[in-house]
Amino acid sequence: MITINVTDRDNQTHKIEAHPNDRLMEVLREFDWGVSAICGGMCSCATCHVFLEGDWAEQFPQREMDEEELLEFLDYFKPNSRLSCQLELLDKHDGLTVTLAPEE
Amino acid sequence: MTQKTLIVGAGQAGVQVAMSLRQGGYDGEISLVGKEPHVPYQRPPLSKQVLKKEWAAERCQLRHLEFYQQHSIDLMLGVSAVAVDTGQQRVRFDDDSFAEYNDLVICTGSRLNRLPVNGADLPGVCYLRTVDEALELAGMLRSGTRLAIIGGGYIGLEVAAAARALDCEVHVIEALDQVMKRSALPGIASFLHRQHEQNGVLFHMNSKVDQLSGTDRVEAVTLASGKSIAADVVMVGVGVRPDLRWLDGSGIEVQRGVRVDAQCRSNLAHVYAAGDVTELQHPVLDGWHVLESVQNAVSQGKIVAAAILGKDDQYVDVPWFWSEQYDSRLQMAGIPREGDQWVERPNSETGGMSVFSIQGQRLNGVQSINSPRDYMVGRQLIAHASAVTPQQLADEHFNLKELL
Repeated sequence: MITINVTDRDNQTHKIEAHPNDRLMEVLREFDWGVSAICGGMCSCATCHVFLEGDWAEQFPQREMDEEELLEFLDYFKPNSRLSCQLELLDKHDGLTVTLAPEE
Repeated sequence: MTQKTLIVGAGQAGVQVAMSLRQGGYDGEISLVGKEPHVPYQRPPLSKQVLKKEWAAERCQLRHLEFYQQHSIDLMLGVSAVAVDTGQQRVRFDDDSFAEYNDLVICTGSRLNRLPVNGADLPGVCYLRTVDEALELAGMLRSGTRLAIIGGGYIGLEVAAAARALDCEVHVIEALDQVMKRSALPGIASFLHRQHEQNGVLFHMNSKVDQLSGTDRVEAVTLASGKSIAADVVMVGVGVRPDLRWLDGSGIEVQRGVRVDAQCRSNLAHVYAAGDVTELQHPVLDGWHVLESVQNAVSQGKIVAAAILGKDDQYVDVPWFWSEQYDSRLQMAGIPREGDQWVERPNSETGGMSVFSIQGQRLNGVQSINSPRDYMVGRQLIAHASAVTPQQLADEHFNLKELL
């Protein structure tokens, strides 16, 4: 198990556990304060938008073009934006810190 | 006395109502009734990842079983509602039990249209709506299996793509002159049609099915033209309609679906509906619509919960849909209207394209293949009713962002 620190939309912080090889979205949608992830992980809806804090962005593969194009049109897009359905968790992501983007 | 919300139907819409009620602080009882014995799940992966055997069925679950226990959501699985008495405020089930409610939410979704021809009940003839049906079909598809798909809509074409990935021989039989005619614009439909042909799918257009035949199981599909197509497996995808029969005599107004307003209220107090089962009024769209989509189920589910909690949220989301076939991701937003002009926009970077459906300067719909940027801008242009011109939309080098 790895631990992830999440700041939700009400600015509350949560420490949650995840299994390596989970998609971050699949972990986050389990919580009331989590992401809605309407399309179920198809990189089609942009409802699992998160910000990777600190240097964590470097610990994941870069965005593919489809993710990039969905993200850049979101009102809350920032340089550290990611769609959490595209982020596979590995052992090295223990301690990952993310903030949920506001709902569009 | 404790309030009780009874949600009939445990698909995407029903689960959303339950989750949003708890998220909104609802402290009454919640019962969520599902016809199938399984933990509620999402359907889109069934015709894609599950059929291709990339996902185990469990991965489709919307939430784990513990989620419902943790949130005091009483899951009643494997039971169907057969009648509702809106005066007594209670629902009768197929095991003759009853449940009372203060608020009733109808989320029974759609049921499959059956193929009305001889031989349609032979073994080897499949439909695809439930996870059990998906697993049954997946179990029959292997390299070299001859699969005949009746109906060239979304389900038919997604199954065709999955079956080609499994190296089946695939025939698609479509009654009309265009695939996905009900929902896709012609430019998009022909793009996908070509892509299926390039992937080896054999099409029989303008073809009605006369009968299915075989001795112990299905062996062939005979078309009205007399042509016969040999098949080991037949998959029927000829549409769905709202599951409404259990509402007969209830006083709940039903047309093509349960009629609801922008707050998802039916004509009766304390009766709401969400998802595929509804026929809805939408502030951005004229007239009444039946929207069969995950987005609609989720959007309406949230609105129902808000209404029960005494808020007056209205349906304002622009409808959107998606599909995946081979390496094409289709994304669509809005609803094209009668008399619209269609403007194609190529995407030389990805080889995809978009089609915009406009009337005057107003964009009514966008449908994109591997062009998420066009789709995302289009969705916002529709939401804001921004002015567009065909020249701007057609010019791949014009930055659509300037229109926002």
